Amino acid sequence: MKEIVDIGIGSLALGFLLMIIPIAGFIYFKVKIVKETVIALIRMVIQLSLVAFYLEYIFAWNNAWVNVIWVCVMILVGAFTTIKRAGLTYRFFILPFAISGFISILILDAFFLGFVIHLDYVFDARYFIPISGMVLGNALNHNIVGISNYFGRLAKEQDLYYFLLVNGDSRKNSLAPFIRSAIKSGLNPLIATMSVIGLISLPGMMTGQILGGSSPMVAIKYQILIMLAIFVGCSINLMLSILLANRFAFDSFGRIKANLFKK
Amino acid sequence: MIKCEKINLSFPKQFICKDLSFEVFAGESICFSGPSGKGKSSLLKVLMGFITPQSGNIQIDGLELNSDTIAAIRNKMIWLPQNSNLPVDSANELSDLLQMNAKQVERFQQFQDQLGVRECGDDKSFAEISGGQKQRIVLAACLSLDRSIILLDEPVSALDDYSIDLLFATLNSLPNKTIVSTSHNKKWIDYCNRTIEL
Repeated sequence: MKEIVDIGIGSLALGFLLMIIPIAGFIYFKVKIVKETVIALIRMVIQLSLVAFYLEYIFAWNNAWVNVIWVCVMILVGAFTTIKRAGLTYRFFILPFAISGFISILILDAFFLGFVIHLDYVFDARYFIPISGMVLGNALNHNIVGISNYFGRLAKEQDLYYFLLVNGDSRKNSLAPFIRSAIKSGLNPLIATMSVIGLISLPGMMTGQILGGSSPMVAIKYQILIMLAIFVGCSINLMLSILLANRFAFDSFGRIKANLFKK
Repeated sequence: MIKCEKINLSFPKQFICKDLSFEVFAGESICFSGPSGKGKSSLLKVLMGFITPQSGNIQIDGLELNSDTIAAIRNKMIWLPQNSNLPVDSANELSDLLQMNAKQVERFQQFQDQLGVRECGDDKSFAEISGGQKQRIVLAACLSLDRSIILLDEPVSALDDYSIDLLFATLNSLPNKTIVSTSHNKKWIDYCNRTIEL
């Protein structure tokens, strides 16, 4: 196996020079996202550096409890981020979204790491953390889209919800069109990605493995598995998030609670 | 039968009613009447459990309205909202949303015929028809569910005299329906058995 070529700090800094092009474009077109872009870049560097630092220790330690706590922290951050980006209030949604994240990761890690890859030690940091992270990262993006669609439409089209609540035959059915729309909007981008993967995009994990010296065949098998895990994880997470959030978002008369949304 | 006792309802900036009591017997039609903004629609929402009054008791067909009975009570009702400004594009979409069975779809078409909007319902999207036509299609959909209590919020506000007559004829063809409505239209008020002025 070939050794991967390390990137020096100087080369890394050179990479940042490329950012001059989009930022110059933003300034030229007067798009007010320069500040946000710079802040996001700085955050990315700090967060990834910290992660690299932590992961060095976590991989060396490889303790099941530490690894599980690490993944739980990722789940919680994901839940907080979803709530914030969807414009919802923390007190109603943190519990359902955290539980959905936890259950989806539990099912996926148990299935893929335990039954499919047959790891002797399921909590092995080298597999458990990156695979959980990849699933959670993708689930986060698609959850934000799906959840924003769901509660956004419910807020905007409450007349339809209340109309169906009386004229339909159950609360479940009156929510059905909103749930269908949320699931479609959340998962459609992922279906589109899956259908063109390999044609117009080479996914990060596969590229990383090939750069790391794995054979393309091994990398592809891992990539197929991870895409399956991502799709299943996103689907479970989104559907569970909606179902569990419904228990907190409505009162006992089926009315949408007034303070679900941040002012 | 609908029985309301000593209903007190007000919002932070609006008083609706104090100690309002009334009964609506099976087969009777009543109308909440009064100027705009007096809370006529709010009273219908009280009957559907969308608004909880500060105090008072409500019984519908022997069931006291509370969170345990609300699903059963709503299943006895149909509701035509004011303006019918629903985000729905066609009669077909409406029947899908209401998960109508074959018999209900047949009745939906019959009621569209009776209300004079069958052609609109069959061929046109809701963007192409008037507010009054859309309201009648929505009403036809609700009536096809064949429930005993009919709640109508401003049912004739967008209708001309001819369409109002079609509506009367349609409602007259339905035996033993209890109708609770809101309106300040004289023709509609005259049609109802009783009026409660707000």
